[in-house]
Amino acid sequence: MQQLPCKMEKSNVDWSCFPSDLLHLISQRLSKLSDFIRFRSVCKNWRLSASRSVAPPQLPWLIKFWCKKVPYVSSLSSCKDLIIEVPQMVKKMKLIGAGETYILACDCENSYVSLMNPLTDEEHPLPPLPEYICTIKPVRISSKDDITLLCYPKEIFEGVFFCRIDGEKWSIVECKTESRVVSCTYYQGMYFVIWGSSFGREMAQPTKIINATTGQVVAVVNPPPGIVNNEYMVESSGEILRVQMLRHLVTRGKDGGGLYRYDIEDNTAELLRMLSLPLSLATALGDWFVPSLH
Amino acid sequence: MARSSTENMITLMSSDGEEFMVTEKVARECTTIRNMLEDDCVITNIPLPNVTSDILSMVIEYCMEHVAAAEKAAAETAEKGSSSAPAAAKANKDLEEWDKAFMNVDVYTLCDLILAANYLNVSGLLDLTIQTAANLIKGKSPEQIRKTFHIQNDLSLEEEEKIRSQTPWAFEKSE
Repeated sequence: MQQLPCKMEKSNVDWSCFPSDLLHLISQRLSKLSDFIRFRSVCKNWRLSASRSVAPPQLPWLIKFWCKKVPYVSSLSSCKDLIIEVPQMVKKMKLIGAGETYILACDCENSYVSLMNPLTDEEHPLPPLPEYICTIKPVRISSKDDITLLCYPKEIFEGVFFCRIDGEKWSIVECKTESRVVSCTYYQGMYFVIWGSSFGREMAQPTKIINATTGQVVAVVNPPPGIVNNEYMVESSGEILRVQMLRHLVTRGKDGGGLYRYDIEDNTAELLRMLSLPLSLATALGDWFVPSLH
Repeated sequence: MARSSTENMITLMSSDGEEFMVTEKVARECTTIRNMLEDDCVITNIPLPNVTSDILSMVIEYCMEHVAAAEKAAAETAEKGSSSAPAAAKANKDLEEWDKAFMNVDVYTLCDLILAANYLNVSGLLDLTIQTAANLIKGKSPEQIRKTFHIQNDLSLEEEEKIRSQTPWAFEKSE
């Protein structure tokens, strides 16, 4: 008669001394970061079983507005509003956007640009940008070594610059534009850009897909129908999502808009609707970051 | 559940000495046992020194239900040539309902079931029990979680204060 290996603890194991690997499995099922943080605050054993660096993947948080340099955010998974206490350092700087797990801040002359995790005190200064830059918007921040910014030149000029970090300096690609950029993001060698007609625009705008090396437009994706108040893209778990908020007066209902996914194949793409979003997100600015504890 | 007389029966013995006769098919739902059977196909009696009789009977109940559901689906496919989508969806829903009712247990039983599912390597049951535990945690404060799972707080006041001050938003009622 063969005996099974006796590796299981006695059956008087209770939840406070539950095996670490199994507690880890449970913690990975907590899709909200707040649940994960509270899981880690139960007792020593639970805390050690769920390390900060292995929080389950999170949907992005949208920044609704900045008030006295404190971001008011809304989580896409719960659609609830939160106020984040940012590190003291950030309060002295101009906040210019967010992306991945960071927010991006600079001083008034754009000479000092820095990345910060709003949930921890971690800070990464970036190389200085050229002097002819006046406005900066983040395009992609995937890690502290892989950052692309959209910069407008100081002089009136029909074009924008995509500045991509390259070691200790920036590599810059110029792109002709006919109008203001509403939202811009990067995906697998391509920039996704929503061009706006101007303020007070009505119809949802198409997305242009631009080759990041040459600056050439390779495809145009038509938007879902609707009169929009606000539209922008976010990156989530390796996909590009488009948040499209409808104008309140037009919808007259609870439906504030939709979350769409860019379905990308070769050089074509289309938008697929994923879920409806409530009106409470209508005022979000289009800046977002993924909450992370490391 | 239909049992043909030719089907191999296997005896599982719990830590408290109780014997459970199951078909080989049901026993094979436990990967740990399946591996043993594949190594040595003549075993008919398996002692499980880490699983009590009440938990083992539950694990067997789960395996029997899932084997029966799979057999029923296979029989329907064979009969009609192909499985009809609405019937398959209904069968899935029924099994989900059964799983849900099966998970109506106290946290001590849930604890033992996770340990047994992990030890016997019943992936469906492990998945179900882990998810049930996670669902009991969602939306609760640390204090409510401790109360639910009967856990003593062994964190010092300083440690707790530090955790709360790092991410105060995670402890607000609205989140």
